Amino acid sequence: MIEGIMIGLYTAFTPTNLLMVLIGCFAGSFIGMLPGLGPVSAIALMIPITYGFDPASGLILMAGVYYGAIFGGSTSAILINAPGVSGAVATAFDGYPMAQRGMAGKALAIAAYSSFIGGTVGAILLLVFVQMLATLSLSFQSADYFALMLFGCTGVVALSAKGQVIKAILMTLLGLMLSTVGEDPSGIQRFTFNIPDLYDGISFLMLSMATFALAEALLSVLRPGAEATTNEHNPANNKLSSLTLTKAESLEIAPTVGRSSLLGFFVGILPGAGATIASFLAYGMERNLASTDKKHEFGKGSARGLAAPETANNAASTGSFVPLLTLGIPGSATTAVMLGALLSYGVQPGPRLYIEHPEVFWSVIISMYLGNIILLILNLPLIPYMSKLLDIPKNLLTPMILFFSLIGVYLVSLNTVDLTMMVVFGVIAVGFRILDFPLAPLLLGFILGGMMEDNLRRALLIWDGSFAFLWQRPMTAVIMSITLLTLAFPLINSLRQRSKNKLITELATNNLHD
Amino acid sequence: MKILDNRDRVGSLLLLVFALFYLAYTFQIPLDPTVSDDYFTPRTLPIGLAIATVVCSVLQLAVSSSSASLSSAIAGHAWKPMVLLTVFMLIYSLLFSFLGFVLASILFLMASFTALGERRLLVSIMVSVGVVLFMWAMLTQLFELYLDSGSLFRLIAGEFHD
Repeated sequence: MIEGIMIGLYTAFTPTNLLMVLIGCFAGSFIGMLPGLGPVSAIALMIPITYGFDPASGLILMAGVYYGAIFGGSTSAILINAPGVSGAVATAFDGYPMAQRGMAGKALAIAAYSSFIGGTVGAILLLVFVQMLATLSLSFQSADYFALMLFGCTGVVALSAKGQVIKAILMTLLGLMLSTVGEDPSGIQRFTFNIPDLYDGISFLMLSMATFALAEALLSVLRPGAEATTNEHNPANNKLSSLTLTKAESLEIAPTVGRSSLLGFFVGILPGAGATIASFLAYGMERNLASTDKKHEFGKGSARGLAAPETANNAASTGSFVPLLTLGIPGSATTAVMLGALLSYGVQPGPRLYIEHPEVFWSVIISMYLGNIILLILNLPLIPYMSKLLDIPKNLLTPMILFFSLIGVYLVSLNTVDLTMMVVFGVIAVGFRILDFPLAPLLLGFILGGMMEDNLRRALLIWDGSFAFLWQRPMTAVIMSITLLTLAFPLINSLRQRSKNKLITELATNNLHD
Repeated sequence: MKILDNRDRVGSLLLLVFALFYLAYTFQIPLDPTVSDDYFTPRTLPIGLAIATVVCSVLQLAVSSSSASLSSAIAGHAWKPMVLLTVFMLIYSLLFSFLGFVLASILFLMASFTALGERRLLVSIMVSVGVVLFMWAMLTQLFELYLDSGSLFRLIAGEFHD
C-alpha cells in the first residue's frame, strides 16, 4: 500500500495534475453555485474537455469538479435557500437562517471548514480501509437497504418542531406519494393521467426549487414585515460577519464534525445511499443528541445543524468512491457519470483497477485530499464576495432568485412544462408553510421513495413475499429497532405533552368559571 | 365555520382528501398479467402510503392544536405582489418557447422588478438585460448548453433568410 501511496503522490503532485485540481475546484464551485447545475452536470460538462487527457489527469480534474460543485451547491443553499442538489437540502435548514441573521460569512466559513474536515477524514478512511469497506458494502442486501431507507425517513423527527411529529410524518408520506408518479420499475405508468411530461416522474430538482427557493422568495414578498427584520433593513446584515470561528464555536461543532465524518463516510460507501441520506441522518443525529436548549436552535441557525450535514455530505462523497473504484459499482449518479468517463479512457474500475492501473487508483485518492485543501484555500477568500449577493436590494434580488431557480430547472429538462409545474408546486408549498406544515420531510420522502420501493420489491421477492426479513435478518432487525425507537419516543412525548396542555387548559377554564 | 379556522385542521383535511383521491386512483393502476410476483405489484406501495396518510390525517385532526388560527395566519400580508409574481412566472413558463430565453427572461425580470416596487426604469432595464445576457453568454458560449431561442426569433430569422 505504501508503494501505491507513493505512486499516487508522485502522479498527483505533477504540475499538470496540480493545475487540474485547481481548475476543477474553481470550475466546480462556480458551476455548483448555479441552481440546477450540480456535481452530475458539472462532471458531465467536463467529460468532453478531458478526452485528450491521460486517465489520471482526467479523473483528478473530475474529482476537483465534484468537490467544488458540492461546495458551490452549499453556497447557494446558504445564501439564497436554493439547494440545487439533494445533498445540500439539509444544509439550507440552518445555513439560510444563519445568513438571514446576518451571519452569512460565518455560515459559509463553517460550511468550508466542515466540508474540509469531512472530506479529509473520508480520504484518510478511504486510503486505509478501501478493500475492507468494499467487502462490507457488498454484505448489505435489499432488506437492509429498505430498513436503511425507513431509518432515513425517521429523520423527519429531527426536521419537525416540538409537537409536530404527526405533521412531519404526513409530509413525508406526501413526498413518498409524489415519488410514485411516473413509470414504476416494471414499466407501468402510475398517476401520469396520460400526460407525457409525467412519464418520467416528478423531477427532484423542480420539487426542491419549488419548495425551497421559490416558496421562500414568495413568502419573503408575502411577509415583508418579517423580512424587514432580517434583510437589508437589518444593519447586522450589511456586515459580512466574521469568518473566523470563536473558540467556543469551534469546540461546539468539533464533536459534531467528528461524528458526522464517520457517519457520512460509512453511509457513503453503501451503493445508492450517498450524500443525501448521510446529510439527513447526520442532521437528525445531531438534533437528537443536542440538549433541550440547543435543540430549539435547530432550524433557526444552529452552527451544529449546519456543520453536521456539510461534514457528512462531503465524507459520503468520498465514501461513494469505494464501490466505484473497488467494485466498479457507481454508488451515486455522479459516480455513474465518472464510471462512464473511466470506461471511455479504457479503464475498467473494479477489483483489478489498483493492480492494472495503480497510478489511476491511488492518484484519485490522493487528489481527493488535495482537492479538499485547495477548496479551503480557494473558497475562504471568496466568501466576502459571495456574501455580497445578500446586499442586493430585495426588490431586485427576489426576482433574480426566481429567475435562477426557473432557469436551473429548465436547463436540466429543457421542458417548459416543468416550469409551469414548478410554479404550481411553489404556490402549494407557500400554502403548506402558511398552514405550518414542514416542507423538508416532503423532500426527504420524495428522495427516498424510489429507492425504498425498489429495495422493498427485491426483498419481498427474495423472501417469497414475507415481511419476516424485517426481524429475521440480523442487520435489518437492528436497523428496524433503531428506526422504531427513533419514531416512538418523540411521538409518545408529543401526545403526552398535548394531553398535559389540554388538562392545564381545562383546569384553568374551570377555575375561571368558579 | 369556526371549526375550519384552524391551520392544523385545514392542512390535515386537505391531505386527507388528497389521500382519498390518491387511494381511489391507485385501483386504476394497470397490473401486468405476465408478471408472476404477486407479492409486490405497482399498486402495493401506493395503497400502503394512502392508508398510512388517511390514518395520520385523522390522527392529526383529532389532536389538532386549538390555538392555530388560520384567519390570523393569512391576515395582513402583501398578497398583491406575491400573486403578481406568481402570474408573471406562469406567463414566463408559457411564453418561453415562443419568445425565447433572452426576450422572455428580460420581460419577466422587468415586470417582476416593477411588481416589487422598483420605479427606476433605467435600473430595471440595465439589471434585467445585464443579468440575462450574462447568463446567456455563460451558458451557451462557455458551457455550450442549449437555450431555446424561441419560435418568434426563428420565424423572423427565417423571413430574413428567405
